[in-house]
Amino acid sequence: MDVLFYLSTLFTVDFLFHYVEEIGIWNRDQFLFFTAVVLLIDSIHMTFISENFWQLSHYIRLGQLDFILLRPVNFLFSIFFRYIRPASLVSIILGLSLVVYFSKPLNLNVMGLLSLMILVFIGLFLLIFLEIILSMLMFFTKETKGINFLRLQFQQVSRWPDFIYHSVFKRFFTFMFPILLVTNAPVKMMISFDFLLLFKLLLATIVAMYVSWYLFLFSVRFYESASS
Amino acid sequence: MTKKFIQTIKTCFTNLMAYRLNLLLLVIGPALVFFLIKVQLWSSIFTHHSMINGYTLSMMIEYQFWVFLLGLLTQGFNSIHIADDIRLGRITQFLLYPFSFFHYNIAYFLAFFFIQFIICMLTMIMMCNAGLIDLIFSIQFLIGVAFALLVAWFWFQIQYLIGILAFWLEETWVMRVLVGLVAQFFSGSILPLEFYPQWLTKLLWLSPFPYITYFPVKLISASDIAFNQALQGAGILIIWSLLLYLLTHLIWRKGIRLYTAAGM
Repeated sequence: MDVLFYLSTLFTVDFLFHYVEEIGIWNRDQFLFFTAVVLLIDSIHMTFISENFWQLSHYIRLGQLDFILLRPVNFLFSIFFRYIRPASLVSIILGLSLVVYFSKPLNLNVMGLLSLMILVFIGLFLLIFLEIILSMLMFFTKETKGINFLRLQFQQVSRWPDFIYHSVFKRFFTFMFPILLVTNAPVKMMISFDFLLLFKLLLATIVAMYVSWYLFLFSVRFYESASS
Repeated sequence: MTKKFIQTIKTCFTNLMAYRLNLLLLVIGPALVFFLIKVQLWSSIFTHHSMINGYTLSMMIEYQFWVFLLGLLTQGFNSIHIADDIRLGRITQFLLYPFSFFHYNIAYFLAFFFIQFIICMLTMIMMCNAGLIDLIFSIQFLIGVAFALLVAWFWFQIQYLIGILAFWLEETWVMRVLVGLVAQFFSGSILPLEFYPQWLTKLLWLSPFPYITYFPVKLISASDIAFNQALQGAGILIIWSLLLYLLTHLIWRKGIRLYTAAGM
């Protein structure tokens, strides 16, 4: 399933570039590299994180969050990092291979790829914290599937280069809800290093981490347990 | 039978409208993707080109809008509840009722389709008032809407077939996502089929996929499709629907023999 998704995404970009030489400021090689990084982040997210957001909706709806809140473990870690999808591990290998393959035209060396991996993980954590912030809406709605669906739609925003967005949306999704930094920052820094962009990414991740933590503490007050 | 059907539709309608915020978010999500991503992506692609492969920017945005709207109308239905009913043993009651599981789900589908139809009509009126699309109420448009009903029925059958695989599979979401991905890529939801290589396009026209999105979009947006082509398209989709119907009943018969329910 993941392989099909990756192939369809790559072929879509490839078909487009049969008709145009550039999309925005990027050529085919740069765009395909960006797409490969998107797929890598998606594969890691799908394997280690994604399932936990659907589980959170079950916990809240069925009143089972008590058992997790009572544990002597950090709530966020216990909720969002508990379940993994082992079957998706293969897609991480595929994602990594695609990144290495599409990095060749950009002349990225081993150090460059290692730096990219560090930036990808920072971007991934930013995505997780932003999704946690969005998922806190589940504590205020009776039915939680819609919030998860909205979360998936917001994920899609991060899967495209920021230059395609109108300046208003670009500013909103870079500074207010910095989902555009998740993939754009690591890729742009590989193409041309920008210290300010690195600072924005790190700052956004740290701020999102604290906001998600305090928002969780606030939101859990509205949780109604089923049993206790 | 008709009374039972109508009452079941009313009950399913009430169930679906129970969580209105959920319903709203299921509409807002794709609308967000359309406005935030598709419109802006294509505007960016067309920055240095006035025409790409026969499409201008306004033609492409209109195409993507109809893809979004038709997707809401025809491909919104999913079989999560069908798989859960089988997995959790809730179909036992349907084996006793004077109303089959298949008929119940048809009623469910009709209730769902009615809600989606209202949502799509409201969205279309809003877009027309905002000047984003030009709506031409022609005979071809009405034929396109009728074709969309056929596509919705076809999609329901695919989803029902995936749902009843729950007799064998613990989780059917993989199949749902797989079919969704394949349909999305090959039906012209992402790119119009003119952008695909010719050899691939020729192969695709042998499958039902182009008739799910590309063909009805072309019908509704009043492109040059002759009436006999529309009939031909409808005929092909009806044949695929009949094949799915036969396959569904075969799988149901095999699956129900495996089904056991204890303590119900």
